[in-house]
Amino acid sequence: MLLHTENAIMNKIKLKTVLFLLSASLLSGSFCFAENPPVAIDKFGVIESVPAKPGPHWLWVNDTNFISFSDGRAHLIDGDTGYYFGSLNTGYVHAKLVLPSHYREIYSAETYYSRHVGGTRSDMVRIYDPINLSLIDEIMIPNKRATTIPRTTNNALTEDARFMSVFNMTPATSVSIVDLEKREFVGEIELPGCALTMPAGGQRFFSLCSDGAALTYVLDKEGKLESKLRSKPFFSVDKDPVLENGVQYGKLWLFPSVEGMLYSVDVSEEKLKFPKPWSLLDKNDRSEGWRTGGMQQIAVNEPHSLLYSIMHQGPAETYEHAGPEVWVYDLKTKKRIRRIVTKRMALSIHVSPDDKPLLFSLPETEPTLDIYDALNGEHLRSVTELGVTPFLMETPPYN
Amino acid sequence: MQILDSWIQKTARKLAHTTSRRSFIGRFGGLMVGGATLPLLPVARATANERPSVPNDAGIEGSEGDPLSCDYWRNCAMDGFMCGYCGGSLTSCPPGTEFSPVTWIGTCRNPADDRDYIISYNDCCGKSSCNRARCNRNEGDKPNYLPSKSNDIIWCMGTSNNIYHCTVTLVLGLAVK
Repeated sequence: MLLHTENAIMNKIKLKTVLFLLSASLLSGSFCFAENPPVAIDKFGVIESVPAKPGPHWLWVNDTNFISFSDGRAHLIDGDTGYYFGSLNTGYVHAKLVLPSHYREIYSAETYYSRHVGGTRSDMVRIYDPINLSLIDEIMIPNKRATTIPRTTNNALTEDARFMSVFNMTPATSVSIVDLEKREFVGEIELPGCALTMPAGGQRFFSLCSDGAALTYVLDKEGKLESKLRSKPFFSVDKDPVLENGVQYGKLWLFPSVEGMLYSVDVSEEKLKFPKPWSLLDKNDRSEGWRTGGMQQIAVNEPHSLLYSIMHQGPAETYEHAGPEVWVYDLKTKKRIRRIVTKRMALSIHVSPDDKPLLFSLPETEPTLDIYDALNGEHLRSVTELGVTPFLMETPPYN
Repeated sequence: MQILDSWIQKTARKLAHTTSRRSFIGRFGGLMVGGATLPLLPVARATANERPSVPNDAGIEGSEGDPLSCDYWRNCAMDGFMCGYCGGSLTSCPPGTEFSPVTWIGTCRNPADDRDYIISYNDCCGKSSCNRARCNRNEGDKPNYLPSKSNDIIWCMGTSNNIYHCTVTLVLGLAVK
């Protein structure tokens, strides 16, 4: 009984202590609330947008999605930080976005089926807002858009960005011309025996032909065909074909060949000129079996007059293989100045166009973007989990 | 159309049998594209009844003799998913797909008899990528401005849609130089 009474007293003391501590804690808490306001209530439904002015190290990475071709995308990355700004969905066998110098809009030639992998086919040029990454408009075109392993030269713009040329293959080859200002399809220009479409200044485009020639075609003010001019062959399709992913260097288009030569096409005038090709490989390189390879095989940085080329060792039929090195050439002296050993085998490369350039590299084996200092080859960062099968890269205009 | 088809078949077959790969390109490269009708070449009619016999592959040692291997001799210009891993076989499309009648043509050497054969790489279409057993060898493959020799084109043409699934490998006949 005594024990019971003692216990009861002890329990009362414990209870008082607990109540005192609790009220002290609540009081002190209320002081805290007064000094530090609580976390603000979140605004519902916020959607981000992309800054209006792109930086020189921004990069659009085109993702063809080889696992499910119907679900192509494009991803926008900041090369300085690896930040992922957002993406666009771009349909079946996406090749690449078309980015006008004004960059008020983004253009993309796309193909869709009404039943995902069947039903009615619809080809169109879609127009996107580069800030909200949202659809602005679309222009229907003939259902002939070339569905190939993508090339950077599958679509092009006139210099004033009014007309877009979309390469078709059924397998008869042609281009669909679209008036982006009037938002209408203008017409089709046949390219017998020739393929791809590249801007050549003003209202001109050119294509590469199956006999090693080039075909220039010029549009009039309404976007209709004004003239066509076919050159003499400037390379041998049989012995040493040029690869289709050419790059621009001033008024020159540069194309690497399977045997490691660099061919140039001067597009200053309608009548194209073909400066003498030069070799990316010396005798020793050739004896060691080095060769240009990959998909987006070369890249140019104009401020430093530098050419970058993916290199690997193997016979001619390996010309699409990824390479363990990127070789850097001075385009003025036509000499190699550096060899960069890449972190992962490079399948596609691109270089930013500014005077402190970055080198971007996509490997074949994983959806990762490797970023290097393009002047000294130092690996800076990598962006992982980048879509499904990222493939071709391009820089949004930044001035 | 039947008469035209038949003529194209005969012409393609005759050329495939009597023309080497290089002269093939040289003479006909410029004619391949640009026509309003089906292209003159390459038209590998996979439904044709006549099929030239080829030596038994069983005598070939290693993966060059294994029809399910990318190293298999007929796959020398292959670039795609091998249909044998997708519910089809070396020469047949998987169930529910469509066999593309138009395609590119390569020339591969058979190690069993050391002779070159004309190989037709037809795509099976109408389902999304099989995504199994990718094989990318590219012997004799040319860029897309020479479509007849390019395996980077989705050859689902002449089918009800051009959705690519996988690729089969058919012998069309001997390449005679």
